Amino acid sequence: MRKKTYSIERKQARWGLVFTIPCLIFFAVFSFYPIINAFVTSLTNRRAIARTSEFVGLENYIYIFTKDNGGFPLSNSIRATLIFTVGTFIPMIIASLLIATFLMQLRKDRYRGFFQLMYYTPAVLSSVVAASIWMIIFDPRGLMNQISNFVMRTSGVDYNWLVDSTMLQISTMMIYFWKYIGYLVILFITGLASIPNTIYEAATVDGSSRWHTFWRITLPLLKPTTAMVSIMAMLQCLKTFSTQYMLYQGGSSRFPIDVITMNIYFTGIRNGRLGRASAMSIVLFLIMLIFTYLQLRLNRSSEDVEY
Amino acid sequence: MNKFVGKISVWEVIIWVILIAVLLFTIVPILFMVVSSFMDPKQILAMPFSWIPSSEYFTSADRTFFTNFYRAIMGNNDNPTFFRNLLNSLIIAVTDSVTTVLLASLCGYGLAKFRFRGRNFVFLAIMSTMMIPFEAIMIPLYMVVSGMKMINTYRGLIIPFMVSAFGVFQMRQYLLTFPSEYLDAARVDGLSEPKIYASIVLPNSKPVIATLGILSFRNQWDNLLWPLLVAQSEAMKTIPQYITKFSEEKMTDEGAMMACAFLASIPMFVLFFTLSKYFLGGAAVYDSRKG
Amino acid sequence: MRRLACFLIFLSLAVSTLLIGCFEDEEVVIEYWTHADVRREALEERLIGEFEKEYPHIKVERRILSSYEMIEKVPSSIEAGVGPVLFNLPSEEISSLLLSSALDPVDDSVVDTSLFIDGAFDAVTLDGMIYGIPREYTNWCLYVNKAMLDAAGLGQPRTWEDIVEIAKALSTYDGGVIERRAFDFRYPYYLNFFVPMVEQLGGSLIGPDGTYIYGDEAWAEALAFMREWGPLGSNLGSPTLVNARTIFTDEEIAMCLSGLYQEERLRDSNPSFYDSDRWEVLPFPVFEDSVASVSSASYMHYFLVNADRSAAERRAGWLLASYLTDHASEYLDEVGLLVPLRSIMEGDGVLSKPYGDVFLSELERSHPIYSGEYASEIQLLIGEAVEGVMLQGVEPEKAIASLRASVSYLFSK
Repeated sequence: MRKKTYSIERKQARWGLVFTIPCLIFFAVFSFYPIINAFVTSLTNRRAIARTSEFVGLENYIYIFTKDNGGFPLSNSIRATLIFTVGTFIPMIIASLLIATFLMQLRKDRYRGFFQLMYYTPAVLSSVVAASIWMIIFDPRGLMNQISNFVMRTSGVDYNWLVDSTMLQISTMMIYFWKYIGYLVILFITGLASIPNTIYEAATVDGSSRWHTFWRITLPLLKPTTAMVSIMAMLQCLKTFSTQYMLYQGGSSRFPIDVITMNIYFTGIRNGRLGRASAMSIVLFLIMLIFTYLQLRLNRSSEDVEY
Repeated sequence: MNKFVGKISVWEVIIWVILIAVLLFTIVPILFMVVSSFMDPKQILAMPFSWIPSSEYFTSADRTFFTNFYRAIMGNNDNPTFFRNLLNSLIIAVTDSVTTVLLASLCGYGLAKFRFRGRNFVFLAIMSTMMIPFEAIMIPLYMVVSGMKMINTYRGLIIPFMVSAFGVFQMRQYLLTFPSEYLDAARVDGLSEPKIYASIVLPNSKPVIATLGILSFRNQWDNLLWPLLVAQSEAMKTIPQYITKFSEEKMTDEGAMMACAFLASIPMFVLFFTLSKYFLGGAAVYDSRKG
Repeated sequence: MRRLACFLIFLSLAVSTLLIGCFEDEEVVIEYWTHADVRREALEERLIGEFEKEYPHIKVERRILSSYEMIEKVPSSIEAGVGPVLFNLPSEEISSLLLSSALDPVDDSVVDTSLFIDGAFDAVTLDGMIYGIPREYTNWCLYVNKAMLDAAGLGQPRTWEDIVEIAKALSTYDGGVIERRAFDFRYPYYLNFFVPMVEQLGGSLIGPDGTYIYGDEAWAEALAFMREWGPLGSNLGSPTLVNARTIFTDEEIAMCLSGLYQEERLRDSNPSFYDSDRWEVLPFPVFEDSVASVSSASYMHYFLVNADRSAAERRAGWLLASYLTDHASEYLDEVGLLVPLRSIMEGDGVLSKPYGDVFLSELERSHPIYSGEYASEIQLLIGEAVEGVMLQGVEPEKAIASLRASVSYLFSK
């Protein structure tokens, strides 16, 4: 009897593997192979088109960490990426969590639906559309200067949204925030909705204040969602490319917003230094790996939540 | 004292103010795009900006409110590929979101509800691909795809994005909380594992399927870099490419630019607003499950 | 028996069609990638149609890419082994392809290189071999909206200082926000206009002694001029604003830099302006204290053929390139593009264009754009130096030092 259940479990477990195989094959061809290829390339001095490449060991890695890579050092890119990530992902998580909580407080589902819909709308637009809208809004004669002048009680001041290096970084963060806030709100709402009402009812009966309920009940129960959303948002921010690229193409300076992906793109595609660009991608890969590991550590207990 | 006022607390007022402020932030740029697409470029950059398109700014006599749209569709060479490119984007995004949902739910289910040897390894391996920036593998990936003779084909545009690691992750996270008792009950009833997946897991994953489907649709709709490499002929190009090309040819004409952006967004808007009921109803499905 | 007969007949038929197929010219399909140019489109479609009639075994697939796409996509597609057969790139984007032997040497039996002007092949010559045919020869002059200048009582600009003066007189502002410019540069093509400005002041990209970014004072003066031009200085223009040459057509800006082809675009988009005497073309400005009279750098677009493709495809590619070159006079008349053939450069066609003489005489004052190794990277680096000074307030001396370090490093290996 005992033996039989054991084999059933084994058989069942095999199904698990079967279910994962299509994805595994896919990732093997379209992710693992290319990244291994990139790693091997990072140890060579390969340049685009010149099909010869020699093994150079860690030379590329030493180069990107010690040399200025033709005016665009990796150190600057790491700075730009981290500033962008911190400046975007933390406000975005906090804001979307708060907005989601507020939305859940609304008495009518209809209102909630409306807000969710409206918040999500920017995410529907493609990055190209988003960038073209914002580039017109950030034009010196555009809406943003007019609004800023109104809010700041100034007149005719050009806030140099696409020019000044600080403003330029803020502009990229704003576009990103604008695009993704709605999506994060929805993820949080999905998470919030999965918390059984009975728990809230119990809390209300206990006489907990809203604030107390939020900190003591909502937040801990929301941990799986927060873990997922923050990892996703963080990785997205670390990988940001198209916003910066579009602004660069629109005439802004590259240096202040030269995030790692952009540096990889220019070093590899524009300047054809595939070895060097691959080394940078491996560095970015490691950065993302470390951050995810830290995040997972922080949220370790999250998967144990039971309702 | 008015009964109605008494019901609304200060707290609620603050919530409403914040929610509406955020609403303005998200909506104003979109409204700007919509109204600008009817305007003469002169009006778009006039100070102060007026929100109602006016013919006072029209520079030429044959200009109408729809001139921008006409120019957006016709392009500069009177060789309108706009609709074809739009169709391409739709085909790619729809196919990829369907395959993502199917493959990711299958894989996520396998990872969440079965204890097979190497499970954690498989999970970590798939998760680790989330950390691979696309720019890093672009060239090797391009060579894989060209080796498969898929350059300038739908296959080349679709297949590399058939499933995403994030989709697998999201599905797994969702299915972790799925009560195993349901599955066990089905097994006792003699249902086969694929049948359980198809008739119990999938139907019960609707909310997460909706979010995932829309997310992957959006990601493909948004994809610019990959089509830039893979789609070469005008007939294979996607709508972001059309806009980029248009913006370069018509650098100056903000009106036509916005009209183009607006037109390109209409299918997404339509799709989004029609699906939204189901999409936003996701929460309700959760509720029914919890009982 | 009948079945066998049928089979034999079928077999003989198959063999004979196969044999005939071998003796006939095999059908060749060539992809031809070129950058977007509205005026050129119609002409080229027609010429390709005629070409296909003349060479029935060749089919041409013409693909239009934007200039950015051309620069990025051609190398990456060649890298992946799926590059086009025939394509064109500007002088400064060719060196890396040339040096990595990705280009096919010109087929002498198809193209007669002696018909071209001296120096026409400089950017595509390596070890005495020629790897491309020039299809466009361009230099930029100053387009001026005479009506705007007259209305403000301003004279013809000759120097950069005049340009600043006019810009200060004509630019309009709402507080600190610029509403309307009078002139702006053609960012990000710094090798085309900025390096000549440095040269006017006595500096150069590579000095007579072989050092890079030669002549600190000249570079510093030119960079300081750009800072004064930009939003941190007098706020007369910026790389983030809409490019000047397109709004010139709509009479929204008084001056811009462009090539001869701009006239045809003018005729196309604003015929009444084109037909009027409200515009003129003047020489590329100089500094008041210029030590050398240098005009904007001249550049060419070259037909190039992918060395990876089969011999038949490459030959077909050169055939098409040469066929299009044979119609040089139509390119001049209809699109305003100069093919650097002797017959074109010495013929009357150019002079019959409005201000054609200005463009020709300016060519004598100009020299070819730097097209050697790393040209494309150097252009990006100069761009970063200029924009750093213009937009981020980097000190010119610092920008020059880091530009020099970066450029020297490129060549150090």
